[in-house]
Amino acid sequence: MDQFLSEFIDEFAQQFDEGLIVSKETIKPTTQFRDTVEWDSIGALYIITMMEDVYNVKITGKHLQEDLHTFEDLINLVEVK
Amino acid sequence: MNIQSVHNISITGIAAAVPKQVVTNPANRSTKLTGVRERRIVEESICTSDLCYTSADSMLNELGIVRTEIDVLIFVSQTPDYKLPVTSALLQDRLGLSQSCICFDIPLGCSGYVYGLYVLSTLISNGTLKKGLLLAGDTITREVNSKDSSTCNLFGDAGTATLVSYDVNAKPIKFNLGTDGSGYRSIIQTDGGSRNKATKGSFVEQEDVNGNITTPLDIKLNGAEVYSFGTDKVSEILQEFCEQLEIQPPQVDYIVLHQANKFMNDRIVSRLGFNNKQAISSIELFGNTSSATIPLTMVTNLKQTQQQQSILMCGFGVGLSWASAFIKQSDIYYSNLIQI
Repeated sequence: MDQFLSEFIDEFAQQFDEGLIVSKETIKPTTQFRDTVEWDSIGALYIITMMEDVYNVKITGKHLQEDLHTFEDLINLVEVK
Repeated sequence: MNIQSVHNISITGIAAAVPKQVVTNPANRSTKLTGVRERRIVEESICTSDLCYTSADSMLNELGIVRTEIDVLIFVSQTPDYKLPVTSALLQDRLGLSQSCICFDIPLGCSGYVYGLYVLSTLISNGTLKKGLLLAGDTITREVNSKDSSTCNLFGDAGTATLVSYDVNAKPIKFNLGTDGSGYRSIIQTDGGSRNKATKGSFVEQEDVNGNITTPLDIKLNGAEVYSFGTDKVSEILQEFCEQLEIQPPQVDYIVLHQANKFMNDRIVSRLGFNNKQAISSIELFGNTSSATIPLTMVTNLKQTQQQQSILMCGFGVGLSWASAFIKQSDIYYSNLIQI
């Protein structure tokens, strides 16, 4: 697994009390991130905050809900910056 | 940014009433994020108007105000007694106000108190009218679904009354108000209005992608969109408001934000450079009480003082709508919190 993806997954999982609900080794860039944790509406707020505070990327709730579905979608925003 | 300066207005007093019934939220992730440890829930027989009536009645008695001297009554609420007539008319009668009293409702929520304060202040500012009552509150707990985890533990019920008076010695109150209707879906009750009249289908429960269950008659809240709106747009608006008024955080005694979500508000406060002592709150014990949050927060945190205080307030949310005000005043009377 790519180093950045691995670290990103760790940071992402920390936003959820139960962490990952799947094995980290099974996660690929194209994995739907909502399927890897106990995703809920609170999770969305923590991810918006994580993207801004840790990666300096601002995303809106609308953008997250409509356009961002895979780990690749999130990571690409970081890399574009 | 458009800033309105309204002259000759002082806030004479603020009162608030909440239901006696306390509901304690479970200690979980949601409670940690929202900050809502407890909420007040009305009994079936109590409406928002009852909470506002009790607040107003009590305050007018305490201050010895002659009822027929009230020239304006504005009722701000999304939970009126009836679809029609306006609840302010019922309250005019109930409070024993003059038939010359100008009465109307403003059906705004989160931004409603400051919107209402602006409208009321503007009406009184030229001196033709001398005293006005702003009654603001909601019984939102009746409008949410207990199976919707994004709302069921967030809201509480409350009603408030603010007495505003014509005062030539008052410092001008500064206001900024705005709207972004493109975000109307962020907080919505889709059925029961003219666009979608209530039908049998309005009572059918549906599950969203996050597992939250609502009917079209329940309030649907898109937390992520409201959070972005609060932390980005509202922060920017308040920043610009302060810059244009040349206010630095140390010059403000209190910042009173609409009590929607503690996590969001902490972020806004931090971005603006205020501290926790300045940012008073009521969400922990009363939840999100819609248009009542700002006056309820002031009643439960502040005391009457001869010292001039600078208070920055901002209501933001459903609409999407926002309204900020900066008040410099002494001697605001605060009632003891009433519980019914």
